[in-house]
Amino acid sequence: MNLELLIPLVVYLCAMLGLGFWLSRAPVSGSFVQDYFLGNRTMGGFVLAMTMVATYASASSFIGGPGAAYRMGLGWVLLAMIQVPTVWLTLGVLGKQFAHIARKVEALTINDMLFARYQSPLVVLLAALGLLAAFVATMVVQFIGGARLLETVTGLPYEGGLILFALTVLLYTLVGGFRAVVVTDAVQGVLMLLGTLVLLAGVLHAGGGAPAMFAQLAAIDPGLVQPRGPGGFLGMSFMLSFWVLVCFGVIGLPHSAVRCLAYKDSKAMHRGIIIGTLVGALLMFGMHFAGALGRALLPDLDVPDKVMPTLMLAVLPPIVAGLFLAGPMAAIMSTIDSQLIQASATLVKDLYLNYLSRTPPSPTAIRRASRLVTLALGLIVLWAALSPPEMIIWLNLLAFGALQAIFFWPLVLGLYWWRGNSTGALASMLTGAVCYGLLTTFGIKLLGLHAIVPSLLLSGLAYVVGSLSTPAPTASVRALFGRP
Amino acid sequence: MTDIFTIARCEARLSVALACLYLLCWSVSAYLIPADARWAGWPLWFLLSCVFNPIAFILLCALMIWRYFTPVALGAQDES
Repeated sequence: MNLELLIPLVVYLCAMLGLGFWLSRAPVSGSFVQDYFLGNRTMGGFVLAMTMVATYASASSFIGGPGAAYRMGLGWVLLAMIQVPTVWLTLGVLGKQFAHIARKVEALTINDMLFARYQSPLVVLLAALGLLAAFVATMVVQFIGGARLLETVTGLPYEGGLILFALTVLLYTLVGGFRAVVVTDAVQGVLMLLGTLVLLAGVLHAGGGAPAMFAQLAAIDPGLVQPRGPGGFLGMSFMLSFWVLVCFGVIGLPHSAVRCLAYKDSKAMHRGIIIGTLVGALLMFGMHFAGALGRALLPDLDVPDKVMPTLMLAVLPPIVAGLFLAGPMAAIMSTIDSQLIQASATLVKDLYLNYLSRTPPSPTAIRRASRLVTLALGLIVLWAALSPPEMIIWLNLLAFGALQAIFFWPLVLGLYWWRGNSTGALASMLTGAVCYGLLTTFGIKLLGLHAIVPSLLLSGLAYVVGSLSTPAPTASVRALFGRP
Repeated sequence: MTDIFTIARCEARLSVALACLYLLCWSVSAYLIPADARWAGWPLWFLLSCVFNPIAFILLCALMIWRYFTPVALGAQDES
């Protein structure tokens, strides 16, 4: 066991926990549900930016991404830079209209928004089920990723790492709610940024500067310094698919959209866009560039996914490495916590409070139920991660794109096209889910495009056709969405 | 006086337009520059598309917010 590395990590986990407890002691203004699931809409610009970036930078971009950059070279950095517009797109497109309507109808979750727009319990039910399935699957995989990382680096056994790590996330989410989630996200975002910059500096220093490393990369394979990658792997349709999947499609991801409900005022949003874009771009560039250059330092790594931890150990002194290993851990934790809180919100707020309870339960009962649901969900995910079933891996492959295929059009067209109605939304969600599921499961690639492109096209078509062939929404809905 | 819906629509359109412009600059700088061109040891396409281009668009994004985004009150309980 590698104590030099383990100690800073444990200190870090404890600090997150302490932060959660400290935040839970803040006086609750307004109702418990609004506070626990949305932090009472008090998020400022910096926290908004950090939480957007941290939620978005998950295990895949901190571990899988640099691993891919290691194999594909600078072309993969180019691909990662596709994500630069994400923050301004999500906040700008959903933006003020989303936040304004959410305040008018007192929406706490994405499903509240969908209900206000489409007035259809069926849409909400479908959305809730899709959300739960996708979140549980991704959380399990994030847990597995986190535990594997601990295992690789510290020599802690897999189960030990998993439990240590899972309990921390669970506890601070449980006691602090959404407020703890976003504040820890902000801290973790800063840490990720520092970790990335220090690592990049370390790599550049160890390799004797960028030009020398480019020359080394070109000597290994000239494809590593070309935009099309080794053997022309990164072709046009591949890149185009990523433009849809990680840039434009992200507008439809419910866990980033929910952050558009929670910021304090329009000034927070403006500042959030600028800071978020800057930090996101730095992170994406730093992580992937370090991964690509890592090939020059460690040319024969058999598992490319280990490139980040291995590089950290190779170029940084152990105690610093331990501290900054918290970077990838932070990325994983901040993705899990936001999905955990949103999955509980879906269960408690959208399904239980809206449909199952005949009489409104007392505030204490709600408070207890909310925490209980968060705990239960966390434990289910933890149990699944201890012996991951095959099904989960498959679901996770689907989750990211499927969420986009389900939510993109109902959210975006719901906001900006008054004619859309519940039939259109239902048709769009079903078409998106089925089409994406089938294309991915059978590995069908139309014109070499990722399944998300045809799925989004078809679900958009279904939305328009479904809406136009049935009556327009009622006057009150139209008035709410700015079309009297 | 323009209402919040007009403002929100205009800002949404601007955001999408800026993203599309980014897509254009990204592809031009990555694929139309000869892949072997070098500048101070850096591959020129990489320098332009992954370093200068993002910096330029972070500045453009900030400019867009400062010039065109209007602060509005989002709900009854808070004014900005």
